[in-house]
Amino acid sequence: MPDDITPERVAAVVAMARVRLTPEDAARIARAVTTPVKRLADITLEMEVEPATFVATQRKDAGL
Amino acid sequence: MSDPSELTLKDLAAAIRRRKVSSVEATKALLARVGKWQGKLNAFARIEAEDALKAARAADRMLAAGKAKGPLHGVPLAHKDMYYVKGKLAECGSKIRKGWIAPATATAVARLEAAGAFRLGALNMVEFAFGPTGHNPHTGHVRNPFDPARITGGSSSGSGSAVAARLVPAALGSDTGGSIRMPAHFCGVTGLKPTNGRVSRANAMPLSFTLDTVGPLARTAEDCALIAAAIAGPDPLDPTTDGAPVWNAAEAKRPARGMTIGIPKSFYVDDLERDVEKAFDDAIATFRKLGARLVQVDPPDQSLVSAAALIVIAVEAATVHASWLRTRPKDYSEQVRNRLANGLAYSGVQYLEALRWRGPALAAHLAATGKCDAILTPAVRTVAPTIEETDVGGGANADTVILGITRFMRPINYLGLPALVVPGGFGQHGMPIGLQLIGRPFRDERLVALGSAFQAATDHHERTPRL
Repeated sequence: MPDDITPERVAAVVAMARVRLTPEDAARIARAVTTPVKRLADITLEMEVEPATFVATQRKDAGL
Repeated sequence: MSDPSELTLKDLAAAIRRRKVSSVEATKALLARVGKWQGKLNAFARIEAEDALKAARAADRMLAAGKAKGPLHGVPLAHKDMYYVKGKLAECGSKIRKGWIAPATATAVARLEAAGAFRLGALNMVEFAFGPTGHNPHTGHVRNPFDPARITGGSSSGSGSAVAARLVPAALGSDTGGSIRMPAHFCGVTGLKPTNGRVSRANAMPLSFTLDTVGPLARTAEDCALIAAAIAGPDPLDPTTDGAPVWNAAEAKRPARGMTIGIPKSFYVDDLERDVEKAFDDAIATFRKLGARLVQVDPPDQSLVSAAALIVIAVEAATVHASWLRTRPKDYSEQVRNRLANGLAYSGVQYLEALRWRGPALAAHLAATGKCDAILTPAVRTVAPTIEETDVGGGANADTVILGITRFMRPINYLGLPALVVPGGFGQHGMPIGLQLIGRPFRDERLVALGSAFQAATDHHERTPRL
């Protein structure tokens, strides 16, 4: 998945959610979301990891 | 008998139970104080004096008959205006939910009522709990009792202000990205963010269903424990609490001696205001004197954890608000609308990767912090800035201000850990400084134990603002 999030891409994704944006909004959102997306881009996860792995990890530490 | 508004929750509950003060006297004293300071602080969204006095009279009648509902019998509280009470307004600090009547009662509120407490009213908050400063263009900004020109922190702004000003002995807040802990820091009170899954979120307004937590702000760690004891544990209405342990009062009274506290080498100690750094160093010395074992720890990259938290909060908040973003976008403040819209731009894969990483990120954190019972950090890098200088709305500086204030908060929500903020000193302009104790999953009680020991050795939590 490309890391560069352009205003055009933001406008297209947000349009799918049927929310209207101005070009200025799209540019601002592109700036805001680029950093978190780039930060997480290098994380690699085992195929078996799922969101519920969190609960299992939490409860294992607590001995539950 | 001293002024009931000066008593901690523990002492007020004991005084009422022993009939040294009646519930009606306590309620009237608190209502008088609210009447005096509401104009200056704007802590309350609504004051329900008649209902509160009716509940207080009923509580006194029960006591006279030798009966008590529970450990909070006859105690007046007030909660953030996002906790639903059936048949009552719950406006969530918003224009969109103005006039909305809740169809059911939040489990946390119902449990406090079962323990004997009742409401004085509802407390102001940031619009839909989505903001860290306490600004609210719809309901007016809530003011900090230590200096009304300064922010309270948010989003539980009214809860922080009301507890600090002694308008109520304790209040429920909510914490998705620091919304209990930041007001605790800025207003000089104690705030407990429980482990995710420890306290039911049922019939509380959602912001991020993965990261939302329900918890108390009060004067002391012991008072937070009284609230936590009443509200923690499984609730069929919130499946995330399935199997959650009930509160362990004995564990919350463990001595600090022998407990291990981690001191982070980086991130949480970077770029601190000088007074905050001093308060942090003083706290380390205090815990050392109390017999805790202090060790250096190096938690994994917290800015990466923070980035994951941002994605989860943004997407879930955008999902919760998608319908209104389509139909009523102009009814949001600019800052909240902008932040909600950010969440629409992440892909499904990016969101789910952020969620999938949560387990491994927690495992890495627990491995890096070894056998520590808690990690001690400052809560925020600075004391409360002014309302004016942080009134950035949706402007270009908004992200900088928001990310700066929430820096030490968001990682903890992502990792689902419990955290307690206790007053740790005072800095520039006489403003409070909070210290954060971050615990292990479902070991919230150990934070209370450490917080109580710290408060027995210090008096920062006793300073009353001179309104």
